[in-house]
Amino acid sequence: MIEFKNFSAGYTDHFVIQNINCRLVSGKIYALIGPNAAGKTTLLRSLIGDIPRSGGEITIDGQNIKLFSARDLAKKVSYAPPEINPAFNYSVSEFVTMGRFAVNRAFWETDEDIEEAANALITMDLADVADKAVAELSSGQKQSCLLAQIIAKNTDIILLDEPAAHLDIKHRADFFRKILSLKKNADKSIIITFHDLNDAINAADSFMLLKEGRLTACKEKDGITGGMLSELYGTEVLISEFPDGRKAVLPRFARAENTI
Amino acid sequence: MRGRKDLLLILTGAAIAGAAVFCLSLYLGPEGLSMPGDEILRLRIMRALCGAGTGAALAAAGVAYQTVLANPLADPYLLGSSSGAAAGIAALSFFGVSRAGLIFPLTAGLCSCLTVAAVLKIAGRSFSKKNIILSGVAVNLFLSAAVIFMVSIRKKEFFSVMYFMMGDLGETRLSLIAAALMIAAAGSLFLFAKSRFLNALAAGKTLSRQLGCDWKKESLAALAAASVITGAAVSISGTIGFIGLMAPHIARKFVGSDVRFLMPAAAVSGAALLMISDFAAKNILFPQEIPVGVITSMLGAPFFLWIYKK
Repeated sequence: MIEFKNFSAGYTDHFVIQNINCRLVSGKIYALIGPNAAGKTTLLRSLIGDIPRSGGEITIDGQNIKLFSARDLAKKVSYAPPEINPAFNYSVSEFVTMGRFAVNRAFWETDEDIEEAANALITMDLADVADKAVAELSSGQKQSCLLAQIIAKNTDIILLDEPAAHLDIKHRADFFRKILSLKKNADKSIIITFHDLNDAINAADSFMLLKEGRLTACKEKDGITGGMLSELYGTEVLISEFPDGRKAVLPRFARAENTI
Repeated sequence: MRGRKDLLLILTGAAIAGAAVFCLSLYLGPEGLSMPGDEILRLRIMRALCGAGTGAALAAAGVAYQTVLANPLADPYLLGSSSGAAAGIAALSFFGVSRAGLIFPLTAGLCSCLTVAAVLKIAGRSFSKKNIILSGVAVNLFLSAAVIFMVSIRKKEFFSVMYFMMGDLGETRLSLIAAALMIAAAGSLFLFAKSRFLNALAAGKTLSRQLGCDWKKESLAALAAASVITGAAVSISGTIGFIGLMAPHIARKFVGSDVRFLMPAAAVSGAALLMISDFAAKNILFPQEIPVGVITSMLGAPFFLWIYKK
């Protein structure tokens, strides 16, 4: 369980996110949404201790994360940035196996490390490209590498920062299908920032609404209305539901002629 | 995944290749292969030791700089690390300290650390690849000028400007060579032992945190070690450019980027590269000898541009 208590954070004394209070439980996918520059990435990166200044506290299972060493925090929390541009030609399998470094720091990986990494490669459909350099992969495959590294680490908390930003619709569907099965098979809290609200409303269980650095709501999916999203983004948004349960979030482009 | 066996294989191959180049450099002269007389053999052994040791040290430092800064263009020379060390040595000589033992390599190492710290400070927090190289080159130019200034004041009791600017493998004081090589070896072993930390650092600040690596602490330790190694190398051979840039890239082609395999492979590549460059420097214009740094820069500068454009 993650709890934010009056938490603020930023890069200078001017905090980007302010007075966040909420409690996140395990076994759920949280969609962290809000306009650009609302502080979504800052909030995520605060959870891995990667933001220089902060006030208030974040606790994981009751313990303040400031008291964790870098390594102990990494054993509990994983974070995937929106994209990676590796500087060198590390292979996919080397990259994924690196996830085990948080668990075992000996000079050589154990058999368990190698097995966990191999399983993660299979889970993310990367076994065929295991020996390729990460830098040569498509954006979608790079995201899969990041998620595979996180699966190999096997942490309770997973943070994904706009994982689908560079994926086409098929890869997006594949990607979120894997996230959903990850949630189902292992009791993990997953926080994802979304660019596309359609993905958010179809993948997440709960929503965290962030506006200008403040958390305006933290609600179950069913509690989210078009009105709330309209207010959050400052433009008119409609949520519609299809007979099979899927939902769509639609902005209005054309100015309506006869609005009531 | 590769493991112990692969490392053993790489070490064996590298040792054979390194030993071959080392022996060749003893018996190969301007007239081709021949058995040199005792005195010439002694000088050639010293020279080969300086070349191999300096090359390996610069390559190990290069691996560390490149990996920690996640910057394929980093190199002890371009980061200003080498000229920092050279300035330290010039200052010691300027004040009349005799050139022997531990004091030269250690002072050089310290000055090298301070210079890299200054360069990174100037480059700014974002650690942008180009900023780091630009401030490194500017600091490098400034320190080189400072060195020449000191040399110009005290011409007599000084070693040549050439030593500082383009390197010289003619060092014959065994105590100095031994001290410097021991420091370089200790630093390289430290970095090698930290291989997996370096791998994590290569992923960049944010990803290295999520891998459980204390980015600040580990990168400071590795950068300091690389700078001490550079200082040791410069204290025997002066500033020789681009070995620390080329050797890691050549080694990466053969063994990949995992530092556990890259570090030993790059060290041997660096040793071989410098010994071969030295052979060329001695023989291209025989009987006239040109500074070895001329050869390494002629190879290294285009190499730099090639990596930059890639």
